[in-house]
Amino acid sequence: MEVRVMASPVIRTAATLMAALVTLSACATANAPSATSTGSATAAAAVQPTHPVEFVISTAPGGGSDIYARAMATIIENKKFSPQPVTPLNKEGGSGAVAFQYVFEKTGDMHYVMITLNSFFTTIITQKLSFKATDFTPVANLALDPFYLWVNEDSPWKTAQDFIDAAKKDSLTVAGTGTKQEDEALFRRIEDLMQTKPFTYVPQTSGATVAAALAGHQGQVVATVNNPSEGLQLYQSKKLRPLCAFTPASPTTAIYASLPTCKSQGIAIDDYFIMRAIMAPPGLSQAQQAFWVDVFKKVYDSDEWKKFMSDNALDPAFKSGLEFRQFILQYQQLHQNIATKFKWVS
Amino acid sequence: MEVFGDLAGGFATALHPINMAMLFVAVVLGLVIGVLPGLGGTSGVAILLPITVFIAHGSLPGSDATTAIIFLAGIYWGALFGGVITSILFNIPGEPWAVVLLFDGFPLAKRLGKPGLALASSFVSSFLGALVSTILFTFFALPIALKALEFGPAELFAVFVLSFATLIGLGAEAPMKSVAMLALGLLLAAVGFDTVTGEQRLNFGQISLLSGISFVPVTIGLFGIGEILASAEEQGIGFVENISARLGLQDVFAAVGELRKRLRLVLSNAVIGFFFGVLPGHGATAASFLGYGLARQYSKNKENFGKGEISGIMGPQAAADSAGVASLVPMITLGIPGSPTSAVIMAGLFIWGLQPGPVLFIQHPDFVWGLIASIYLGHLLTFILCLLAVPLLAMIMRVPYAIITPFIVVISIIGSYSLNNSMLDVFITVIFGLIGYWLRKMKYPLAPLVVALVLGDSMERELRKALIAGHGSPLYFFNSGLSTVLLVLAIVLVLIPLVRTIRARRRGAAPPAAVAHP
Amino acid sequence: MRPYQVATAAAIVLIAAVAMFDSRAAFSPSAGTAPGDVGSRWYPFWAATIMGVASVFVGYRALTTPQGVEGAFAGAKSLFAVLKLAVPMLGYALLIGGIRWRTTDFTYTIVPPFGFYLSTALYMGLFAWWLGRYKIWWVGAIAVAFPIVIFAVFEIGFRVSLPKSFLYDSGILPF
Repeated sequence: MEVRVMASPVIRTAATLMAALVTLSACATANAPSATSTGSATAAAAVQPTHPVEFVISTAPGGGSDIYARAMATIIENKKFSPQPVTPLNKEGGSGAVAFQYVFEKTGDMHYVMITLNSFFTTIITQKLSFKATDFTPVANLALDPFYLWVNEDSPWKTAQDFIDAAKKDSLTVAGTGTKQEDEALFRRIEDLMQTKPFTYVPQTSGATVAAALAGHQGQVVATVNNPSEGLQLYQSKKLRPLCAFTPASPTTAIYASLPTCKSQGIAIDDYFIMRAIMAPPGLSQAQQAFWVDVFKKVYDSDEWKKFMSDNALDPAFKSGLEFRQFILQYQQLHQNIATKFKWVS
Repeated sequence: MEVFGDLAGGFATALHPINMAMLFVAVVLGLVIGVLPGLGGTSGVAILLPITVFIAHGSLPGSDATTAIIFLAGIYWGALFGGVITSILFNIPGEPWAVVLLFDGFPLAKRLGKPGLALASSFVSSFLGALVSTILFTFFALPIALKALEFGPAELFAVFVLSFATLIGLGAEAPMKSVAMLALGLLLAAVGFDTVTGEQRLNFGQISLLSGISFVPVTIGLFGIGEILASAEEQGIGFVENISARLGLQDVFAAVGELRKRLRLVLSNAVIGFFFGVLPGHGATAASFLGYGLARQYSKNKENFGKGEISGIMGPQAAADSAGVASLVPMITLGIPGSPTSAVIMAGLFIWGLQPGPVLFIQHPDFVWGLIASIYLGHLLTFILCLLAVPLLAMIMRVPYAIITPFIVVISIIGSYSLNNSMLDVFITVIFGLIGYWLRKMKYPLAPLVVALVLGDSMERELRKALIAGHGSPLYFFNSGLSTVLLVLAIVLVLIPLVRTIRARRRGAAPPAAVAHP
Repeated sequence: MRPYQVATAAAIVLIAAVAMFDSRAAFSPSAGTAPGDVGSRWYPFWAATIMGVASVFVGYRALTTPQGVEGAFAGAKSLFAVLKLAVPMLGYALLIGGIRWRTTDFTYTIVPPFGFYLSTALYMGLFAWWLGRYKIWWVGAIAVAFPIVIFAVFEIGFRVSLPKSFLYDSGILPF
């Protein structure tokens, strides 16, 4: 993935500085015990799970990240990337809060990994949980799921500009997954940036029901910001069509190839994605973290995952180490700003 | 008609030896998964997903993606049938849609001592329900799926109100106690995370309560644990005494005979179940309750419900199984999963490299029609296996008390734990076991509590989504013809028993339903 | 029956009162975040209100209508029969997860978690020995066989993880 321009230079500088600090302090704590142990090379080789690993999923079976997690677990299992089975485990509830709390309490235990999406930031901020996103041990980001702006096939709007013009006249009814989560965040950003009338936002339970609501004109829903994979089937059956992509460049997937970017149509948002990232409990040693980075790098490099990503129109974006920490800090700040601005936190 | 040619081709695919072999394995696995507490169709399908990758990529001789989908779907059919077994035998729901069988299935098995008849009744009605649903699936999948897309919050709210309305009068012996239990169910359903505002409520700061109080651990406690406590008191020792001496295939013939008397009920419930199953996100559980409510509404002897009435088994079973099949319809035709299980099956399609949705019919007709044909074959296979197992299963109720009683507690705890991997759910089960025992003793009806707990959450969500979409105007519910018709129907259903009661009172004779409890 | 009926109704009224108190924000002007929404507290508040009012009626009826004279239990024997089941069950559930006391900076372990398999062995064994009065080798066989079969089916067959004991993390036992 190419380097993209972050929202503001201030955030960028702050993010880099904080990432460096967090990395340094993590190194310091991780080094302390290993100084007393015997040769670090032999210790690192022995660091691997000794019993089955729980792969915690913050949504119900069949939900967005559940499908991604199960695809990853299937690859890990079938290719024997881990010496112990990696078993998916759903811990749904509270938009991820239950899963985050569960993994947070497993401090220092490498037998837990968790798939996260943007609720990792939004839920921790809005539910006032006792920990921060940066407390967890970051493993890797495997993909970025872009947002498209969708309308019904019979909608009068042909471009994103038509949509914005309509939104400036009336309060449009839009749908998205959950409340105070990524979909609403994006709509609020549009509202803020384009100075439209406030959207009437109807929360749905999953990406699939969001797409279905738009396709069926349920409750006067006129637009959504579904991921490309969620809208794909209804696009093919001519029920929905995308107006533009919130990405820096037009998509490369064949079916969406001619789709313009939203930026080129006047909505200057190209830095917002759903991350498909792996986190581990707080306080993993560097060697333990390295084990998981290695496993998920192998998953990322596998042909199965590449095919899966292109089938689902995901942007491949492997991030680990400092780059990933920077990304986490940037997204945390972004969501914090939205939460403050729209009074998501009382 | 073109459909028949396609279907014949589908049968040719499904009858391929490797496909039949995998279907058989899957159905047996599905039955086991359905019977095992805590393992449902959804988790069973999810657990076996990695294996299907090998199947889809031809690791077995002659296998391909069609074999893989037949395998996954077979597990689902098996689980649909198997989930009712523990409900009927132990009063522990193996699957959410089997909860309603606690009302009449277990009483028939235990109180009336006819476990074989109870099981066989549920299997024959399941089979008929699934058959009706599969036929509808074969011929009308696409138009129905498109119609279902138009069900917005107002229409869905009306559907839930209608379901409630059919169940009005459950536990009519003590109306105020029923109301209190109904409200308790609604209250419990509200605990945790409010999805509309993203606020926490009634969780008293507990993060673990944010996932809410799920109805599975509660019903396992209220019915499963509550029942063994109650029977310990009644009989001291001995789980089932008056079990019918003859256990055998006679029960199956008896069940077929009972089915013939209720053919209209079962067929109409199957059709209703189909429409319910197609509605994205609703499906078998809600359909099973509506099926029970309708069976009760149709019935001439309502007072038998809750005491082992066969209509109370066949009505919901036909609707639930039909809905289970139908939940695959929006997934196959539109790429929208109609239930969690079909969502996981859809994940399978992605992992094998297939795209669900209308393109599937064009690009891989053999796959789609092979799947449809396997629904017929899979249900037939499951049905035969289940009927053969009836005498064997009924024997379980004769296991000595000192083993069966702790064993029921053990499977209750597995069931509640593995639903969400949470110890909290285990304590919910134990506590509601004690509560259920006490409420039963105090003659509070438990059915309204369970119904409200199951349907309450979705009903509230649809209500509030409709209010948001309608900017707070209650008139919004009458915006569409469909929701108006459904709501009017619901109001009529509520009013009929009320009018009857008042009329009966005027005549001076107290209606049987209003006889006060001693 | 009367005191029990009244006490039960009173307990439900109490629960309703707590829930109503928790949901008192139903009437705050900023109840719903979205225009038109009634807010997250409206529904639980009215459910609790209905529950409370209905229970007041139930309690009133219990006080004013003739009630059966028998107690809640048919004698001490049947009470004992229920306790014989209820107490081991509670113990079993507590044993699985262990008992811990958490203060802000330290967690005291009163009973370590025995996990599902060890607790099940103890629980099934207890019943076989105490209520079944089986011979000791039968008791042993039951206590061992059930957990092993469950382990094989759930952990190995279906990869469903059930709660593990305190000996699992240290690697002494596989469960």
